[in-house]
Amino acid sequence: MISILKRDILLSIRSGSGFTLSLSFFFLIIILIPLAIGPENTKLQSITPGILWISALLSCLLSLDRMFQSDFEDGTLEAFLLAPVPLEGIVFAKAIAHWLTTGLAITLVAPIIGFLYGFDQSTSLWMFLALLVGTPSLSFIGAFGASITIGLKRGSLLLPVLIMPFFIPTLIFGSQTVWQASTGLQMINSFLFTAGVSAFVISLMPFAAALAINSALK
Amino acid sequence: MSIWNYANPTLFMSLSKRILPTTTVITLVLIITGTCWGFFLTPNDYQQGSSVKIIFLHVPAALIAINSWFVMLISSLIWLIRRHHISALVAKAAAPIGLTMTLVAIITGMIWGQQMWGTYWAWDPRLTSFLILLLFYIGYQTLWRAVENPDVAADLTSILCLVGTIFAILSRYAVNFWSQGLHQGASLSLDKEEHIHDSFSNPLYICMIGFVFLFITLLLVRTRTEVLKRQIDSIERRKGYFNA
Amino acid sequence: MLLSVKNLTCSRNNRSILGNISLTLNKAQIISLYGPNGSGKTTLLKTLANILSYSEGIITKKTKEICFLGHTNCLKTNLTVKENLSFWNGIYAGDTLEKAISSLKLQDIINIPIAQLSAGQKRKVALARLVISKSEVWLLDEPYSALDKENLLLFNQAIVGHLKTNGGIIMSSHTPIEFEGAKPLNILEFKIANGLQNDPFIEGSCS
Repeated sequence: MISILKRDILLSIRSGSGFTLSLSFFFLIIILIPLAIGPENTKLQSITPGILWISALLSCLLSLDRMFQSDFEDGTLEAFLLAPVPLEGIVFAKAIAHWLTTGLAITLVAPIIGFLYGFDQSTSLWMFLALLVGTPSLSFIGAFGASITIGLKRGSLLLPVLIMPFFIPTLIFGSQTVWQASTGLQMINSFLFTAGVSAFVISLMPFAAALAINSALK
Repeated sequence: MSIWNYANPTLFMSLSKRILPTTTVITLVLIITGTCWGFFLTPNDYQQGSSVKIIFLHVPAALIAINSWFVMLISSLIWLIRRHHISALVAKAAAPIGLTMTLVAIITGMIWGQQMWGTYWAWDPRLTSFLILLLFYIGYQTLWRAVENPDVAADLTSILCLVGTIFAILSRYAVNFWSQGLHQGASLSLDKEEHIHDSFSNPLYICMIGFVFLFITLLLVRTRTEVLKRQIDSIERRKGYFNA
Repeated sequence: MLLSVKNLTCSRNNRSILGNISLTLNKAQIISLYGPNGSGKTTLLKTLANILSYSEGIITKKTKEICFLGHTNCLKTNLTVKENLSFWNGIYAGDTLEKAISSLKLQDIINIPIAQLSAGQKRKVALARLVISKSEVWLLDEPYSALDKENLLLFNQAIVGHLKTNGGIIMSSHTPIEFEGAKPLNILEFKIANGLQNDPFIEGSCS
């Protein structure tokens, strides 16, 4: 399983410019939204948690459709069926690899952005923690979406349509955590819910994705 | 003769043909009775005037919107476990009905909201949940159309339905949490129990049962259409083999 | 006995194309499955590999590992030969990486990205995966395609080596291969002419 992790990260660096693509996309959205809604600082402060979360979400969508596509095309996916590694483990490793190149990078960068937007230290810390526990669920849901859309024409357009509704619980609990932290409310419940949703997603999605892959290969 | 025998497409077609006229008649009778009684023969609410009567459409539509997904869930499970083609087609047929009912529920909810709050849309937890349900329906139907092989499509959409159910429930909970967080204390929910007159309940029940029969009728019709489509496909393919 | 099949029916698109298949693959045995294009060789091999499902028949596997080599090479084009093979080595938890590289004479191209290799060289690297896999049964779908004479010899040596370790091979091709001790199997023996139609929407079968 570690081999898959290493190989996928290597592949994304060689052919997909690694985490710089998702980071660039992340920055782009963060810049575009305030440009669209006006520069009043106070207005920005209260919606910044939401902007950061949406940007993180959209950036995670980027490299998802390639997750299984190239393995499907060159027959590696069929070889995985026969290999001694369980299919669920393969999905797990791929999702982690995806998270390392998208969610993790964003998690490290976002608090700094929040700081620049005027977050205090406590809010930035909670931004970091919320993203840290929340973004893995985005990658794993993404892995599930990728497994359903293997080999479909226009699969890359269909994937976001299918899985964005699944992002809603993580989005709500994650952004609530940061918003509550910024207004001094008790944020621990939201945080625990975010973590809970992630834990649940991480344990369930590999099995669902493995089922989908088995069907897609027939 | 167990119920599983009706998973045979030919038997299903003959059974559905026999019971369809009955269900259609029951549907028409119940809905017409329910709506006419509700719209014309009940007193106007002193607070909301006659617009509250939209609940005779809103509540049944909302009921069917959720039950339709439930039917899809059960059918998807049956397909994944027992591989009956009919159940896969039942799930496929239920989706557009559920989608339409969700839309009806949202639109009637908006109209009602306009009367109650003066605005067509407010991020009320119930309306928002229905909006999310709409997204799930759209995603499910889009996937059916995107996959070419019908058996693989049935597999993938069934898995999507199962996983989607879990997320739909999670989202419902999350949206409640979310709206409490933002509107602490303000109750903007379309809570029908508190606001309706007792005399509304009978026509409401009739409407609800009528909508259930509407769902059954529409589901039977759509499933028959799907079965016919598959039969045509199979015949076309077979013709192709003989000609080749 | 490594693999035994009794009365297997293979179908494609709800139509049975092969029926009554019975065969046994023993240790150190090679079966040469031959037949024209479109006769169902790939379908049979994939069914044996458990990639495709089957409705009738019994497949008994006395071995845990099967390795399947189809028309695609299972190689990533941006990675080098070494990176690809180390990856598969990790997947199969193998220890025969060096042996595979030397037996197929891959040392010269070991650090070249797959994209820059010729079709024959790519095929050779794909065959190396078989050696690394430590599987007892090899299912090969037209493996000789794209190989020149020299690489063909290397591949045959790899086959001999595998048979020596008591492995079994089922190989498909257009004509029976010339290999000592290969048991030829004509797939047309199992072909169903007007395939048994089992489309549930026409025959009305239940599940």
